[in-house]
Amino acid sequence: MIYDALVVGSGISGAMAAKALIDAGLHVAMLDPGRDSLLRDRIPDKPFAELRRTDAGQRSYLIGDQLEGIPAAGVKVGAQLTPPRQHISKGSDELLPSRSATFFPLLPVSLGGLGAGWGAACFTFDETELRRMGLDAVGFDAAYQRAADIAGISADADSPVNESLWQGVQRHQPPLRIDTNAEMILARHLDEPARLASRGMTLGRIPMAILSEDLSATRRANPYFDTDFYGSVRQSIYRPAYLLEELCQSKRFTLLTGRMVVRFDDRGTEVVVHARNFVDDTEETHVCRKLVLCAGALNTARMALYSLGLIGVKTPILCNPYTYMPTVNLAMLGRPARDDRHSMAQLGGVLRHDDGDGVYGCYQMYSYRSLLLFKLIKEMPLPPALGLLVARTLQTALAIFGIFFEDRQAETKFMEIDESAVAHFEYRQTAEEIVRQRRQEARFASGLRSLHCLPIGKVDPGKAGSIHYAGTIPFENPLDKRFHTESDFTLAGNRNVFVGDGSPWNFLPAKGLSFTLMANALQVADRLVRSMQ
Amino acid sequence: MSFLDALKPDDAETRAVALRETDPAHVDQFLPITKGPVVALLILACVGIAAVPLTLWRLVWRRLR
Repeated sequence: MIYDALVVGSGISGAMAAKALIDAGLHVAMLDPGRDSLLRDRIPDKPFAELRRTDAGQRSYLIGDQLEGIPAAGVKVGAQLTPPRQHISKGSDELLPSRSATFFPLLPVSLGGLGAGWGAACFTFDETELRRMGLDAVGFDAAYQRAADIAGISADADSPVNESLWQGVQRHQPPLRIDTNAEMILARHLDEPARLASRGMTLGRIPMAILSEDLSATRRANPYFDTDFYGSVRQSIYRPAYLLEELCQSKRFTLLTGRMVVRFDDRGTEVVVHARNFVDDTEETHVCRKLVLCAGALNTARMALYSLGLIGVKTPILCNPYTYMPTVNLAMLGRPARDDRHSMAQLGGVLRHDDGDGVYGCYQMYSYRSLLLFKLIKEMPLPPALGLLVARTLQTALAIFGIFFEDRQAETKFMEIDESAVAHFEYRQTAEEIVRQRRQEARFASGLRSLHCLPIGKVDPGKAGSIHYAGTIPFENPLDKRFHTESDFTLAGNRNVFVGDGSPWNFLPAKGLSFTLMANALQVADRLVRSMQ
Repeated sequence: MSFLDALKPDDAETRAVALRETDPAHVDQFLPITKGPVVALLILACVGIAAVPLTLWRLVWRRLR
């Protein structure tokens, strides 16, 4: 069978691209490893506090039957995936081999890709940011709105952060409730906004791809059970897998899981795609008129480099540097917190450049409630009994601020592949970038102190820790001009191969990229459809 | 290993806490302490004072083990 379009990758971009192509009347197939977790469906539909008191089987999803949710000695506690979400990258060493001493990305093999563990914060990029990325801002507002309608977004239309983070989307659900910790921090900010404004910062509720109202019979409003790190509570947080379930109802869609695409060959009128079926351990070929690469920037580049025979050719990597600061919100010390809450970001905002020109950092604030105390105790230089006492005392007052910084191309940030398609990554910030980031982190910490949130540490989760990857087949490639994406989103020299994820971007803004990946994929799909008319 | 890292719980201790924390019978031992800011500060101060001899003893004990 010759498909009209074949989409590689089931993540944030792939699912949206497939949706748009099917809506346009095309016959679409999708190839993906597609591993899924059965564990998340075993989690009872009850609040976290009640589960802790009553569920004898809680160990399986809180720390895992093999205790895989407990970080081992050398591993610092950070944003590790909980056991029900560890399927996202389980087995990637074998399926997506890579080597690096400086860059350790999370490479997904799950249905829904990295979107299966996405934090759900949604931001729109402004015209200047889109232009720097190499994108045409025309039509993006409409694409953002389409993505919002499909994913289901809740947002505060009056949030003070909207000016920087949420423009052009008119239709959305009412905002989610925030927890007591966030309420106090926000109240303090609104009492005197000049404190943060003088440091180039904003703070407010941020748009989230979490439903505050039912969207369909299966996708329901978040029940505020605080189990979102573990389960998929009533499908209230958008995951690409839910959209794929819906698309599978269409006769024009074929989802082929258990496949890894190895290479493709654009023959002018059709594209032949070679894949490995790792379930049957066989080699397969699939034929399509148009191919859409949505495997995530790192894997899309790996496939494209291998297909074009560009062994040992360097191409850029973009990845938001990420730091998080655990703080103690003094106003919450020793005070009870409301039990009903969702687990994701409660507040967010931006840190502007020193000169006030654009956004340099984008941050989110989390409370530490449904993450277990043993993780805190593990990082305390205290006997466990004393560590437990400290953790219990601080728990309701902990406010974790994670901040992403913009990323630009540099000769010290690149990937290449060898003859076996093993990816080699190198990622080192320039000296100038490091100095600037340290200076901005100090300004950020000062802003947090002004809110009476005292930083008790600064954690660098390592390069690639942001899990935001882009820019590997850029519109303008400074490392090798042969390997780039054309302005119509086709891979240079391959008129039937479209790049549908973040690989073509020349620049990566600080704001989370997922929502823009959705809108971008819709734009790419529209281009593809027009190219067939 | 830095001095502070040497004072942190080892794998066995961390595992023991995690197993206890995920046992419904012990859930009360892991609930937040919310008796007011004064009590919270008092607990933190007491922990700080107790930490010095206890952690020093712990270091010695680990060396002897």
